[in-house]
Amino acid sequence: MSRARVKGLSAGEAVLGLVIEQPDHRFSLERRLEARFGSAQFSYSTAYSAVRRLEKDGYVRATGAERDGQAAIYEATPAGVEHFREWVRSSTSAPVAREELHAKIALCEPRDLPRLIDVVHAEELACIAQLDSIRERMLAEQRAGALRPVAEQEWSTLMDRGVAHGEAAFWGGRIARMGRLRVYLEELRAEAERRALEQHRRGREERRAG
Amino acid sequence: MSTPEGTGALLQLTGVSKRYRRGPQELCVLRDVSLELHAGEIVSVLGMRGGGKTTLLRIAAGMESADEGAVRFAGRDLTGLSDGELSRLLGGQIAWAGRSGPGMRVRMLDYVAMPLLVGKRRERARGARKTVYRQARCALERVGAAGCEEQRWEDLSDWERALVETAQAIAAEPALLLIDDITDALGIRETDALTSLLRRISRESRTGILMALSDAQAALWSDRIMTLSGGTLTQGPAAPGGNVIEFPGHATPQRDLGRGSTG
Repeated sequence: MSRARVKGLSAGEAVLGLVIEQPDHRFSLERRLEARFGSAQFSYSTAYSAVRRLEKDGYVRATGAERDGQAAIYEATPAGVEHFREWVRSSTSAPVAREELHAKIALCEPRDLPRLIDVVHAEELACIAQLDSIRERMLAEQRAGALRPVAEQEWSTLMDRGVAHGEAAFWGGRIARMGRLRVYLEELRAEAERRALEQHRRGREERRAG
Repeated sequence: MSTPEGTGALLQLTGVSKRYRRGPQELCVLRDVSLELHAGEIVSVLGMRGGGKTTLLRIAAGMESADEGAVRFAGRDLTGLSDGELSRLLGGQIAWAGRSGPGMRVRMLDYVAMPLLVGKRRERARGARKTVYRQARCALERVGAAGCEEQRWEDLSDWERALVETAQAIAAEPALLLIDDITDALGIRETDALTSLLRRISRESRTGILMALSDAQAALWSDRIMTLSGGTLTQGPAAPGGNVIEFPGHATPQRDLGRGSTG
């Protein structure tokens, strides 16, 4: 299944931001990355390797040696904080529209249409599932009291709300596009059938004439 | 699927189709649409303009009849009801919130009271009127729009209009609330505020809410999300253990049975 990725968001900066927010173990960072940026679909080991890279670059350091089976806690270095602040303020890169689906449609033959319509519908379902996971995250927040007056809410909760809306708009827009596309492809399928019938009829007439 | 009565659904659409004639062309607005909505549950139907959302709501409200399929409200078949029964249902147990406004210059308090006065011509004695206006004031207060009582529609912001529409819809304490895209013009904070207000209403009064939406953000506070395009309703995969979220201190809507995917 094709899926748009959040192009330009490297796990490095996201993990660095999480460490600045709250120094943590590598495995907890994994969980927090998934909870906060779930729809970016970082792979499972992403936070792990990001921490290693950040450590090599001198942006985070381990505190509390790995002893007694206790995992090290990572915190940001001053250089790491500075790098992160710079990243926050720098302009963002626009995502690249590199859709597998578009190539499939561009190169599709009439006989592939029924299957392609199924593919588009499956993509629509996948988008609903994405929207659903954001929805569940929001409801979990609400149960945790996120609907208190703004003045009483944690800053990160308020900012997350903006992210959730942005993500919802992204998946919602995609759902709308897939819906429109499916309707169009269904019209094309009818058109393909009409043409096939026409061709068949003409062929029969020619045979009769010849 | 079990028998319609057995599911205990507040609203149940089964195999509903609707076609419109537009000149020589026949337009299929709804194609074999089935859905269930339970008391205290919020379901969002996402779709583009002209995708059939409003038709779906109108059929659920009994304002329009389906060409095929059955519509049941609280176990009663809407197709079998007389016009009188239908109009008593709408404005009573079924309420509608849209973005149209009163269409005349009235105070918002009068606008909210309007549906409550319908069908009470004979009871327009002072007492009944007083009760109705108390109800209307109460509804405006409940949505936090008490300040709009004396204002006119033209003078309200999109946000206040959405609140007043909501107040009018909940004034009669309906069992089913049909909402036609009232969040469309709102910002992020306003969308969150309005949808969490709807959530509170649905939890407190066990109101079933069916929301038609043209953008996805407002769907984030609902219990289930569906899409409607080209007349086909698509329901997302059910979350493990069902999508019904439990709220502390409130009754949980019955887990939906026999929810089938159409499409």
